[in-house]
Amino acid sequence: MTDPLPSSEVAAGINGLRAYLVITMPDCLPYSAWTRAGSDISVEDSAGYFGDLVRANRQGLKSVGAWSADMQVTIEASDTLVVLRELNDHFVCCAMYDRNTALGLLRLQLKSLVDRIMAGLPQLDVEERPRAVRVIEFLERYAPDPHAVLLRVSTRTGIPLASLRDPLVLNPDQVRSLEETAARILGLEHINV
Amino acid sequence: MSYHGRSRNRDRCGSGVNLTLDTSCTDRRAFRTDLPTGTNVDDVAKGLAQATGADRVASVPGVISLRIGRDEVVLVARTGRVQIRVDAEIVRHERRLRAESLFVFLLQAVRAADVNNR
Amino acid sequence: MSRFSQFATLLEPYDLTFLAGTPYVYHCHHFNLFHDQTIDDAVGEKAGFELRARAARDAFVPLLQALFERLGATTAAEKVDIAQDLFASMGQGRLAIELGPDGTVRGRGAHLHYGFAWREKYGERVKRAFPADAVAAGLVAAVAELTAQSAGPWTASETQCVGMRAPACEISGKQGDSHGRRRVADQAAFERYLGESTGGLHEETISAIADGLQGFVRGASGDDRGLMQAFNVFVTQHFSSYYADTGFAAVKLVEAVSPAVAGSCEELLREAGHVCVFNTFGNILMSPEWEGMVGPLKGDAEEIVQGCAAIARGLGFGRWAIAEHEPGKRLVLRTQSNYEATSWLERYGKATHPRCYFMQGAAVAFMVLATRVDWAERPKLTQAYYDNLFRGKGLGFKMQSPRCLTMGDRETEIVVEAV
Repeated sequence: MTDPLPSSEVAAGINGLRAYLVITMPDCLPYSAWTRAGSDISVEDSAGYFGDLVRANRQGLKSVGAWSADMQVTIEASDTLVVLRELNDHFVCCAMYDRNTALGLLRLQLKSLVDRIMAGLPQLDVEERPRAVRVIEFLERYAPDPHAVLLRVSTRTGIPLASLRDPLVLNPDQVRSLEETAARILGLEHINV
Repeated sequence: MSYHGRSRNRDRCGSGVNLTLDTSCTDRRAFRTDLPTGTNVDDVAKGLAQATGADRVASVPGVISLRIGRDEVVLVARTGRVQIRVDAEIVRHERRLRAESLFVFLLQAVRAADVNNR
Repeated sequence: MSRFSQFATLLEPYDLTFLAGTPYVYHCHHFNLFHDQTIDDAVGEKAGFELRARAARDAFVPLLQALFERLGATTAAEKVDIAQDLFASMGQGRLAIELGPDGTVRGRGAHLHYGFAWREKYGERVKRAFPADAVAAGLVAAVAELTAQSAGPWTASETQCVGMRAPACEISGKQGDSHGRRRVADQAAFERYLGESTGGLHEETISAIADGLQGFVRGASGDDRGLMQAFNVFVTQHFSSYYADTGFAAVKLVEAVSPAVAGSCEELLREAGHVCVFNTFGNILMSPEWEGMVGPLKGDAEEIVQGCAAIARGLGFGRWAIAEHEPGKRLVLRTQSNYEATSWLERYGKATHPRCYFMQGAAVAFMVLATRVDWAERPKLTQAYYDNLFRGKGLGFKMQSPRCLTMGDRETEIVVEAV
């Protein structure tokens, strides 16, 4: 699929940048991405996991009344600095830098990166995908034994496997049942998608 | 440092013998090294057992299995392959360290066996 | 080697194993956790625990009775000692059982196989909300019944579980069980349903490897924690009736309550066969023990399929024989006895469709390992690699079972073909 942003131009000249992703929310899918040559970053996986992290962070901050729209998270991993920055309601930027990048420089460069991304983002309302689709994607990302998770949901809920593979056909009761089962499989009180 | 890529996980520890992450279905518990061709595996096993106080436990024919505490070192007589198995209760990030500490004893046993054979 | 291995017998030429007349096999923690999870998916966690604990108890009672007699145990203390030792030697974990003066029976252990292995495999990913150690509960119930003054079966529940992040598992027995105790398929039952053993291709090679593996696993035993670590997995010596009776009860319940999704439950039982072959068989094939016994793995399809058939025999699954093998295209496996069929026939009579689910799944996995794994690259048997092989765009093979022991046929035949 063609990247909707000129990603090489967006990333050009930013020292220490290993990759950037623009992630759609709440679906956690990659909208635009650039990775440095030789990098083995999985764009889809990163978008999924870091998108979920932002979502959890939003919920956590809201629960203590501390959320603001310009929230930013910095993760100092062993060989990478990851910065997650909310762009607007529908997009999040995830920028990954070499670990030895100075934080001051990083902040300056991040501003430049975000400005370039914002200039290319569409001004439209993003349509949310059906909840059942998002619950199943969440399950496939986090459930133990993801290879068997649809069979497990089918056995637990009584919903035929074919319907789970085409979640748009599920009726509201089935979606509720799917969601309760997903929470139970994951050991959560409810699914936050 | 990542130990997942084969090209990145070879550590030189002397004697031309390397310790790498071996195949294992549980995370970072099995490490592999191959003894230099011509090494007397029996002598290495004896030296290792002596240095560590390891117990020899039953295994299949052609394989020497040493239990060191709850860790295990398995040596294949005909190929010189050695697998160091770190106990599951060692937390993940310390498993390699544990394997390396056993690897040091193994290297000493290899050198001793080499000297004895000369 | 434990003091119980003297009572282990091999039923020739079927590669079926018995301990004091009780059938057993070896399975790893990946399979065990997946199997139990499937039971809970089918009947719910609470009912699943009870079903599994009963299945374990119903196998422990006759086994312990036989061992008490053979080892001359007459006092309660002697019986408890044997039960604890047996459990640990099976790799199920060290469980301290306490008979209270007021008739209470409790068990405690920090390294019970299921809870411990669950925490090791899934603990960082999922928060477990219900206990895992139904097999230990089954042992506690069995010991309670065999040492109590009054007759009748007991049940037991797990009040704390390591899998739920408790420091130790705690199990508590309770007298009485409205379900009663059921007889499990013993050696005599297996002998009733034996077809004539015919063997297959490469018999000499397969038998020699299987013999070596049988000798090795028979000598293996739990460590000081009662855990058995071999081939980079946690192994258990376990009752074949536990797997068969709980699996079949689960699928029968789904067939009765939600027939539309019975196929999903059956597929999960087959998937357990994939899980077992990928993890246990895969690790055995790449192990130094295999290298020492058979030689370094070259990785051609013939070698892998023959090796897998030998491993199945070595673990006590029955004499799985290769009737046909065209690498990458077709595999036909046959057996004249296995634990699934005997349990099914004892419980339900002849089936209307093939029910050897585990063997069906395993046969497909043989072909996947033989054709899609680059063994020379020494792959790491991770969850991601499993997903890559067994999930997504299809396995690349279809399976059918034209004959099945559960249907009263003289053998189970499984045909796997490339699609």
